[in-house]
Amino acid sequence: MRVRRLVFGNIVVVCLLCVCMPLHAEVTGECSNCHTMHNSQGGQPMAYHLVNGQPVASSTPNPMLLVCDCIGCHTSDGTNTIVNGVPIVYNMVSPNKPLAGGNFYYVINNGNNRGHNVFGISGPDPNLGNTPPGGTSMSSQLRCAGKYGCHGDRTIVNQFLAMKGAHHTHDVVLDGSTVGKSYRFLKGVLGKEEPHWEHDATSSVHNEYQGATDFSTSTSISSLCAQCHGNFHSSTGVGDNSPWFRHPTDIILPNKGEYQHYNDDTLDYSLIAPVARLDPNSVADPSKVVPGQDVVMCLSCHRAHGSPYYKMLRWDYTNYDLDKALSGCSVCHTNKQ
Amino acid sequence: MHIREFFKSYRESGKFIFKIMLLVSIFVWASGPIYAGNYLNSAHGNSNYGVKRTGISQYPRGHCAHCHEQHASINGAEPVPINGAVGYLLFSPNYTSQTVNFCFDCHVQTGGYQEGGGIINRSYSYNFGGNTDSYDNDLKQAFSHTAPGSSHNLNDIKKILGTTMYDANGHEWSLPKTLNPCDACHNPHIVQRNYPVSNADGKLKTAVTRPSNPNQLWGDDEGERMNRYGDYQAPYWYGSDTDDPKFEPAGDEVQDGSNLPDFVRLCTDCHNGYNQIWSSRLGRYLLPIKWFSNNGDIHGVKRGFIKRPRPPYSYQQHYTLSCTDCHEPHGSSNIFLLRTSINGKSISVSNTDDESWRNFCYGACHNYKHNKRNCFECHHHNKKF
Repeated sequence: MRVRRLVFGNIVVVCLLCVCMPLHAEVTGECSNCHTMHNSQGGQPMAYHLVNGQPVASSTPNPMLLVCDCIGCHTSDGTNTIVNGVPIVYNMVSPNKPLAGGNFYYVINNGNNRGHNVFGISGPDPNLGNTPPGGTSMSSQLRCAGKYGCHGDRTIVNQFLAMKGAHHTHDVVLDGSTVGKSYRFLKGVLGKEEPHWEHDATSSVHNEYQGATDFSTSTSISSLCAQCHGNFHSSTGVGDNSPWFRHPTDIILPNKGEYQHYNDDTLDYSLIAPVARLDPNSVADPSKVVPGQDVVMCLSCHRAHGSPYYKMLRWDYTNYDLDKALSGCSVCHTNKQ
Repeated sequence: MHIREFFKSYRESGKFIFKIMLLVSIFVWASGPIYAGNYLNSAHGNSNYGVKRTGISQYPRGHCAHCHEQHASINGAEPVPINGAVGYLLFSPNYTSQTVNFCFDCHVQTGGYQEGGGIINRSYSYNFGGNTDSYDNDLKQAFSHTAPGSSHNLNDIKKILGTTMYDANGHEWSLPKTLNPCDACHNPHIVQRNYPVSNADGKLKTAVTRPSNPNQLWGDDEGERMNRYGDYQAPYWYGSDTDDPKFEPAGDEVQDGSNLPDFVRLCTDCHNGYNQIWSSRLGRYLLPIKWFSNNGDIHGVKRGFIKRPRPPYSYQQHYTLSCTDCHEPHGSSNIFLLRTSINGKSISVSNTDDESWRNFCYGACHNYKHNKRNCFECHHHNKKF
């Protein structure tokens, strides 16, 4: 009797955990949270867009009957960065806990060089225009998704269509085959998603990014960046081995010299200068970094959306206290402290 | 409790607390960040006089980005100087020739990229010998000497990078082939400003690292300086004599070498009996230098008494000399990198004629010159008399 009770109790606990923990990104809830059947409620349009961060109603329906575009849902006028289960990438006021990708708040408030200049949130970067550093000019300003964006299918111009169906994909397994089955809807990219977008990240609770050991592997997070910033992730732009021409990515963190002493020789996974993994789904100990095995990536230094710091870096690279300015560099370059 | 017992207990508990504190202190000390580097204590990483490239205003002085361009691009364009992306992410090519070198882009009196004007690095004879009459002002100038002057041949150094070398004890070492030859003796991420001489709190500021151990400063710690030999005598400071003795390298009273890195160990990492080093300038292999051998150099560690010495050297004494007592490390208007001042006196050695050698040997350290033949025929490195 006791055994049956124990087994039953365990089953209940497991079921409760499954219900409570968002194990994947498949959207649940009321359809009307995201869709409008007729773009009309009381004679007023329901659809809207964000223009320079402000909502503007539109009588023209959005594709897929959506109420708004990407930014419309992933924006908040509060400080929280997860609102009703939705990850917020643009807070109109200073975010309390920016998520893994950072926050577009800083582009508006700290300067254009603090993040990506996404249409709808800000204008183009006055220095760069629509030419990504290390890449070639785009004929349109950066979007969230589609050909001119990062998310979704980059062969499709319209960002709604580029993301079609992604939020409804049963994505327990991320294999990169569709947008929905790709890491953070970055089509083709692999990885392991932390369920709360690193809202409460620790050295053991965090995303696991896909790394590679060459520039041709298209599933790595850095290869996605390279689709626009090509010179920063290519043999001609970076070189194939040391001495590198530019800071390399998608290379193994060497298990020698100063690198073997990653993070003050603790080998603790650093949220300031994290690494990618060659197999994000079979990391023996997420809290540890393994030199000789783990991978340097673009996101080792940068936040994808925006950060409070120059060039969307993860630490204050321009702080006039040199110790702080180099605090991120020295996680890997341990002899340069 | 009796008052005596109370105090006994108090004393014992005090000892216990002391022991605990000692253990905690040892633990805290031992568990510190062992692999903390030394960049922020280096000359280049110094927040007052470290690297600061002209036109790069957003980064503080000493910042990596003044030398290294992570992407060869800031705000979509490469900052000056525009050289494209080059090795080690440097802003210009690491090494091209004897006079075209990344280091010289800043270590030059005029026209460099260091904000606020050029960097003055005068000759050893000036900085550490006090010779204000004949010297070079910057490193590029020092490495530019051609005949009758001489300079440490960077291309010859470049050739030994990537090869197996042996230190004076016969231990193997090797440096990466792609290094800048200057890095062989100066790891740019740790070497310090060494002029004026600063020897505080047991640490000597030093600008050198040994080729055989490039990740450690050399000369900063006790035991890495010339006084370790026990018979080092610092030469006179330029113009100094017995009436008003001042000594190298600081122009003060210190004369035991405790304020001078052990340049013998540094230089003999390459220049010893194990390595054959080709000299492009001389068109032959350099003479081996056996500073530690019983059958080696007369000026080295194990040979006999000095002959007919001039002050501050004394009769019936043996001295172990530092290489820098006679040689400039980078370049000189004299042959064989010989200094323009030695033991307080101006020295000119423009060729290998007997008169030049007299000026050197007799003029600086020895008060007698026999007239049998040219000094150099019998007295040179690897000679035991």
